[in-house]
Amino acid sequence: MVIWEIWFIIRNSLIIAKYETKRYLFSNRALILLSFCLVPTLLYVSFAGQNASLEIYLHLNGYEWFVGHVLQIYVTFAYVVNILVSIVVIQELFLNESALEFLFTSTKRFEVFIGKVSTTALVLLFTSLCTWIGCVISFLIWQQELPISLDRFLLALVTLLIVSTVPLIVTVVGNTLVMKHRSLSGLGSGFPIIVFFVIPFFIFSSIYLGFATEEMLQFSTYFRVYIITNHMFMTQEEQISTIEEVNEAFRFFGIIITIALILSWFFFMRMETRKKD
Amino acid sequence: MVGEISVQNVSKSFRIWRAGLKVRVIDNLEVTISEGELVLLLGPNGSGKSTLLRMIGTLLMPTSGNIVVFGSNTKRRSRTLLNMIGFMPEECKFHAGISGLNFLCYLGRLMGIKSPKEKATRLLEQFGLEKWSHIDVSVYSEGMRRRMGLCSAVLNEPKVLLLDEPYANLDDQMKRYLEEYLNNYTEKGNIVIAASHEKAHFTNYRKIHFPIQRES
Repeated sequence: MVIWEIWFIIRNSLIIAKYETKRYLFSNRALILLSFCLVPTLLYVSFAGQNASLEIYLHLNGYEWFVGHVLQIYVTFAYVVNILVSIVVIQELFLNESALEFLFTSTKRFEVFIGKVSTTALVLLFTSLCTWIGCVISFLIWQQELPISLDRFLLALVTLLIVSTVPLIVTVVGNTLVMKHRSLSGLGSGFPIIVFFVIPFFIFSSIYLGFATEEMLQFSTYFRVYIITNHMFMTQEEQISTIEEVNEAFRFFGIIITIALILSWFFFMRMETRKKD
Repeated sequence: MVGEISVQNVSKSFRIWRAGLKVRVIDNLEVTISEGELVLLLGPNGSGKSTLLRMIGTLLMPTSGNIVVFGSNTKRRSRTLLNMIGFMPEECKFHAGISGLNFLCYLGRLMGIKSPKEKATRLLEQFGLEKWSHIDVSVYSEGMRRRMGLCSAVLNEPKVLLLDEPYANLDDQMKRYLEEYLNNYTEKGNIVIAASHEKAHFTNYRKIHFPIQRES
């Protein structure tokens, strides 16, 4: 009996993830292509604007410095793109076009929840891969080798996914609350935007104005992303000395993801799809 | 009297946060429905017809009381219960970026139907959507969406068919077809429960009149 139930959960969750991922990727090609071409274009425009060739730039600043900083900016930038993508994906998967009423009367809610969350993760993975391929192409265009080992490359990808999962899950919580109490309609997208864009923006701005303290930085997800990405491009000795900070950053994300997942599951199971009267 | 569907002392309240109100839509309702019955939930807008339909369909939970469908309590949302229920909401919203046929196949697989494509194709033909089966559902008209909703609701031939305003936005030909289809559907012992604010097309239905909503 229990084995059958587990079999049904796995089977139905996979069916949902397969259909929804396919549907999402095909109906939102433009958004994914945007993530694919944004960064190379941005870098090209930036160099063209400075009217300096890449060779001169590398000669002045050093090759390692350039690559390290470009990739670090790239991960942070891709993080922002991923958050935006996740908000759009979740809005579509859990609200207006979600066909939840038909799904809820066809299968168990737990399976719908797992399927939808897996879809979001798969779409994000695809977007992350696209942004990375975009980055690799930009290096190839400039006829440069990608000076990063495979393990660091994968670490960057995993980092991107982990840090993007946080706003993703929080958005799920927001949206399930919206479904329960229709009047709180701003919560679905407003809450993650405030938590992951507005607050970090003020904290980062205040650093330049001299207001920020170390305690304030601890609450900024941008800061954690910075610690992790910075770690990726350090020498081995530097990496050893900062390993504790990085582990703490990962723990920070781990705790948030766990709490947010439990909360979103709780709200999703109790969600009431109501007719608008 | 014990029926196949038994609504036992059910109440449902909604809290409207912004207005600071708690509205009791259904108050201590007792209803029993037997096998093969056609039932119409009749009443003005906001009287609780759709709410009861949604509670039987496990989309809403009663604030108090129980609803038992063929021996399964709706609060448990068991797989057996879900297999017995087909629901068509008043607003049929579908995924964008998926064709009508693919959407039905998707639901069919989740319901465990063995050859969902054949079943879906047959239903789309029955409800006059065969020419549109490979087209994105997002471009369907309101009437076509309702036909798709009907296809989705009857896909696994459920024992209990719940329809919210089933005849809204349908053309006369489809209305006549649906009337006949639903009459035939109950001949096999299935139950059809429809919610509507008008009596037309529901001549041989048992009518349950709904009370006016109260505030507490």
